[in-house]
Amino acid sequence: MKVVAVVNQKGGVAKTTTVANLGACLAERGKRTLLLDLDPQANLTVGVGVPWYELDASLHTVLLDPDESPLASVLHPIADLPLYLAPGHLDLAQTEALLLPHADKAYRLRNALETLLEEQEFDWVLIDCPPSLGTLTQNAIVAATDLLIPTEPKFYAFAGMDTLNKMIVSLTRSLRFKVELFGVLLTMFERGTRLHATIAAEIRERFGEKVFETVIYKNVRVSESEVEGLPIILFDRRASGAQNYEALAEEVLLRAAG
Amino acid sequence: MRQDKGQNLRERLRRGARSFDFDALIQGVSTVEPADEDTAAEAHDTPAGQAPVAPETHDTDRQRLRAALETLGARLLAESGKLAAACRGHDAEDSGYYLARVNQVLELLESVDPGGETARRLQTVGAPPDGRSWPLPVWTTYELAESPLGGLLPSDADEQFAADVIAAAVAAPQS
Repeated sequence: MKVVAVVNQKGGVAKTTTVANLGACLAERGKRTLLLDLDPQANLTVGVGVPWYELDASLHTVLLDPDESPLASVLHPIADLPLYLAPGHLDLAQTEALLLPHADKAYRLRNALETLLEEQEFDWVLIDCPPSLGTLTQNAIVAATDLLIPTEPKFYAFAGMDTLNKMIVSLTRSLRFKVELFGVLLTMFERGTRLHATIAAEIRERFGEKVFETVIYKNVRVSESEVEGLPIILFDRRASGAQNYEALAEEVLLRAAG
Repeated sequence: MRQDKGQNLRERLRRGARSFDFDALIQGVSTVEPADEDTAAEAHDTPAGQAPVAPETHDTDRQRLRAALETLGARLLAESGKLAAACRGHDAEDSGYYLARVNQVLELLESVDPGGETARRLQTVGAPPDGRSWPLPVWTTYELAESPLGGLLPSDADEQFAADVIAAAVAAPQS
């Protein structure tokens, strides 16, 4: 089983879209998959058709009071797939401050996940991180076995990954965890754009085989699928966005197989 | 001409990208000792401030200094967090208790690393930013008003609350 934190402190790089659509593609291949929405914007939750604003329990309650609100109790099945969501909530914006006095604040998600995995089996757990490097993202990194970094082919991507690198080094000084880079995913790619191609080549040179061969191109059908609350493969399987994520799922499975 | 432009762009990119460091990301990190992996779950409840990474071998002064600064930096963050929570709850007694503990850590830091320069250089947890030193210990209401720690008081706190916090800090047992 892999627990993959999809992380990048920059917003708008397709973290949420990647979690929703990669998760759906893995589930469609028979992999029991759990999505965790740690972003207070709860876009992943809405994007797979769960109205967070009607929920009493979410990852906010799980992190604050795991005895009263265990992770297993907040799971929602998605579509007719072996796909489950632990929803996000606007209240997650307060979670960080409320966890501050707790010495185990960075371990809350890992503990909740371990309790869940004693009762249920999952092949993949994908964590949608907020666009920041605060306590919620620290929880994701500590809980994860692997990191997946979606990034736009822009120069700022280097600075963003440098900052993430610094954060990870900093966390090693105070927390017990073990995490590897599963892959860097180039997203929001525009065909025929010389700058994108050039930056992508430079990212591949720096990160080598860690960069996925699959590239996610800009595709308006993916955005439309989010409005409908459906992963793209259930909304329009023929769309190029769906094909990109199908290809990514295949590559992810191959890479996981070693 | 177009090729030159493309090459120039690649060169500029490469120069810019070279200044960044991705080693920890690429190589992965682990603060779980191989022997600890089976018992890693037991470590989850260990307070971050009291369990900095794996046990260190103190065979050089530099390592000893780093270990001390890591431990104190982590304790400073942990105790400041408790102070902030107590202040938010308008609990002057608890706030004073944790302020005293913060002060003790700050006094130790001041003795180990005056000015915070070493912590900055070693990039230890909680190191003060460039151009800043560790905050001074706070034992009077005047010092509290002048200190960054004063920012932890609730926005509606009055002078009496601040005075009660200081009184509780002064009366707190020394650990």
